[in-house]
Amino acid sequence: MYERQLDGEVLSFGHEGVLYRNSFMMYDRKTESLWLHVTGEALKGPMRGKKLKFLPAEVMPWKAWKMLNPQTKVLLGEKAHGFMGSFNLKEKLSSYGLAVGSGRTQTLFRFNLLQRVPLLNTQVDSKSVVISYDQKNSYAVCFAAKSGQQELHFDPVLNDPESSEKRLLMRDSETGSTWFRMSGECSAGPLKGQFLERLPATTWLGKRWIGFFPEGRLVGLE
Amino acid sequence: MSWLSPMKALLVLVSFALPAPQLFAQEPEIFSLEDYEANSRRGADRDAFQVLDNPKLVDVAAADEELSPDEPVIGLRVGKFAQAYPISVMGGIELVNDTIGELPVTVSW
Repeated sequence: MYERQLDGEVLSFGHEGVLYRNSFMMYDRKTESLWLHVTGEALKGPMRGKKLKFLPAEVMPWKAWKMLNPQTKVLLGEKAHGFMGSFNLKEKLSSYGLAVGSGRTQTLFRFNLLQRVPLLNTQVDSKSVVISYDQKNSYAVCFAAKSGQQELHFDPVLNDPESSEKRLLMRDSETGSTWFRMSGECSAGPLKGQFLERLPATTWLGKRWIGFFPEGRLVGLE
Repeated sequence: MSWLSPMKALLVLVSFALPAPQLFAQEPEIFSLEDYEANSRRGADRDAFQVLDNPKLVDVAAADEELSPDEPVIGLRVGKFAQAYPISVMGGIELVNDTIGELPVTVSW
């Protein structure tokens, strides 16, 4: 998802009707440049080289989203049939992954791996990141693994069964601070109150992602 | 679906500690026009597929009547505002020009 404003101007987009590597192209109604909806980059036309600002979004079951966001508004409409739509309904969340990194060599972390290893300290684009996965709700987020200049490494922390706190937790080994795994907020310790920087990351259907990023790195289990 | 053999999966597990290969470091980040021309095809006329512009959104109670609890949704949060786009709906619409709070956004699938 992206902000659709650029250089102080609001853009609106239409459907070009063209598939590029099986993902559809959108065009902006002002300059008619063609944009990759999957990366937010303009590929062809006067806007070539421009990039929309990424907005983090998650794909998760409706029941989980509304629990986290009781005031949420929702788009309703006809359920999909036919072109590009129908297969979505048959896919399970385990067919998805979280794509992290920029350009053509990004990495897809498949949810079937994250289901077993829900907290990953790893590197993407030569930067240390932590990928955190909510096993119950099958969604993942990615943060820069640092506070200021200090690099951090995280281990999961089990919730105290006596506590009413049900949010997933992790602890960094450098300062011993405790963090909420899915929001990146530090809940206790020397770094309390700080937030980890949330990095651009997109939930993809694995099959689609491979078609679009054949040079990318796939991390997952069979 | 066969993605990786178990042996390869082991290799992959080992390899994610290594930095990403910089095979295309000298190329621009965006996809080249040549690649676009070679790998794109027109499936329909421009605007043949419907796009939504600032559609009316409903609240949780109304959504509960239409959505099953396990139905995946794309969730977007900006400040105190949260908006959800069911994948079952986005599979047909694919592209929404929307606004969340004051911020104009695109949602696509």
